[in-house]
Amino acid sequence: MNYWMRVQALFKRKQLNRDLEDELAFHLAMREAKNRTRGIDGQEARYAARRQFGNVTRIKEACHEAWSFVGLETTWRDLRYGARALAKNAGFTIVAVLAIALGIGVNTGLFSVLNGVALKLLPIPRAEQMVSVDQIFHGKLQRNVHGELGLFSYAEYKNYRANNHVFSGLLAYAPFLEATLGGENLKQLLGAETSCNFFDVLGERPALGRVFVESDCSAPGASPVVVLSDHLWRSRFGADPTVVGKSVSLNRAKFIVIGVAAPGFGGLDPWPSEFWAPVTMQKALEPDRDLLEEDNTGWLALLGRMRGGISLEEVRADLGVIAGRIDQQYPGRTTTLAIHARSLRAARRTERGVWDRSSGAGGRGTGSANRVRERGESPAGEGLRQTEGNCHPAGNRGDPLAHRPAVVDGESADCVFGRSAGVTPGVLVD
Amino acid sequence: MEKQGDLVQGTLDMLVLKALARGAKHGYGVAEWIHESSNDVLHVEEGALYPALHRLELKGLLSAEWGASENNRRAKYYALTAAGRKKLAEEAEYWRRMSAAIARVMQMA
Repeated sequence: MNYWMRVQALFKRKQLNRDLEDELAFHLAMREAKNRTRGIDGQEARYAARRQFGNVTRIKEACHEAWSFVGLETTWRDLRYGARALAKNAGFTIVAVLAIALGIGVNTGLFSVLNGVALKLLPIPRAEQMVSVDQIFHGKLQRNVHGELGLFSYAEYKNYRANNHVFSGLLAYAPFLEATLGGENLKQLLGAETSCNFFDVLGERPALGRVFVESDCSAPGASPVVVLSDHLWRSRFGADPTVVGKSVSLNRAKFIVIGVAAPGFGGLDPWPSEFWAPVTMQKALEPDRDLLEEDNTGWLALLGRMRGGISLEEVRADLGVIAGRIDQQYPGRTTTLAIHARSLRAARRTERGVWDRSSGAGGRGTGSANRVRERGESPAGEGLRQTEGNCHPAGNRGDPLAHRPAVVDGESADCVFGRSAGVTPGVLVD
Repeated sequence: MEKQGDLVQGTLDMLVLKALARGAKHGYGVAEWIHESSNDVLHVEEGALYPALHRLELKGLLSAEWGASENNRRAKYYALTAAGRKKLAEEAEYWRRMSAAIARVMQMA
């Protein structure tokens, strides 16, 4: 099919129509003349010619279709018709357009969020090897919670790290640590306390200085060092190339800057961390609790890098043995582990809570104990809970999702105990 | 229901090409030539003839030119192109084989 001729025809439509008229008129005239030679009268000869010829309009249309891009032109005609109809009903059009825009916007937005926090792997080298480990407790148990129920104590972390056979590295970190950076202008920061293999397991190299080494975590309080995020380094320290070795104040404790993380690295949660301190400096950052010594307090998230060739099933089996051994220390407690390929998902199911930012400028909490009662099975803190007592602590740990009154199981409660709910852990009682 | 003199399905293009094999003709001339050459048996519907002529022109099998007719009217004359001649030869060969095969089948006792 000669497309060029058809394209040309688009611009010579009138000429084509005229030619077609002439061509058909010539045919009719010839037929009429022939009829006359057969002895048919003038007027009748014309009618007979027309009858023989058939529907002229239909023939014109058929010829026209041969010359045109039928599908394209029909679509264009439909669009113009649609536009005219919409223009006549402005109210309907506005509502329809807004509804469609809203629908598309909501879908796009939701997918962006889902993709950003749930589907996308961590932005680190060989992210597919990373798995998160959460605890799910069964039975009646007593446990302190500093964050969410599925978190690990420091002792448990060391146990899993020392005795597993499936990870090339297992890191722990306490996310959403709120701290005040001292200086002429105080600044609230979100950071994390991390095990000293944190950057090594993630495969993250610093842009400046160094990251933690094992000796930084050798003893509680031994190594007041901090790694800054690239963002903090640029925004607060003017990208000072000599920042390494300088001293900064975090929650009024002195820390030495040992390095600056690579640009774009913000830790493991959707809300980027601005600094990282060794987990052994927990008491310096949160002076009213010594979580390192509390073997039955969950406050650390665990993330492992699987050795090559190890499957998730093998990870579950291997860690399950360690969980069983730990359970023996706590009669009545049965622990199963939830092990998943780790994505940058939202806040490790950070629970809702209320905390008082106004009195938390210094980051020091004065929250009173929260008694959290739990019945039966409670997968990672999702079970039936009731809270008692004053639940309005001034917390060190900030939860970007917080500042909402919480309702538990349909009942109004002072708060739900969560990561954001202050420095004082809740006590699970039977 | 087929009328007496209707063309065999799919043969219109071939007949048009054949009609033009001996020289340029206008549409009316093509229809008349087919009618007369078949001893008034075949009758070409004008409703199908003109779209076919335009289609063949677009395919490059026919060329078209405006000229004066025998009664001195403005008429559009169609002529075979080289591609049209080639196509006619192919169609004729195909038709020969098909009609012979059909004739053989119909002659079977």
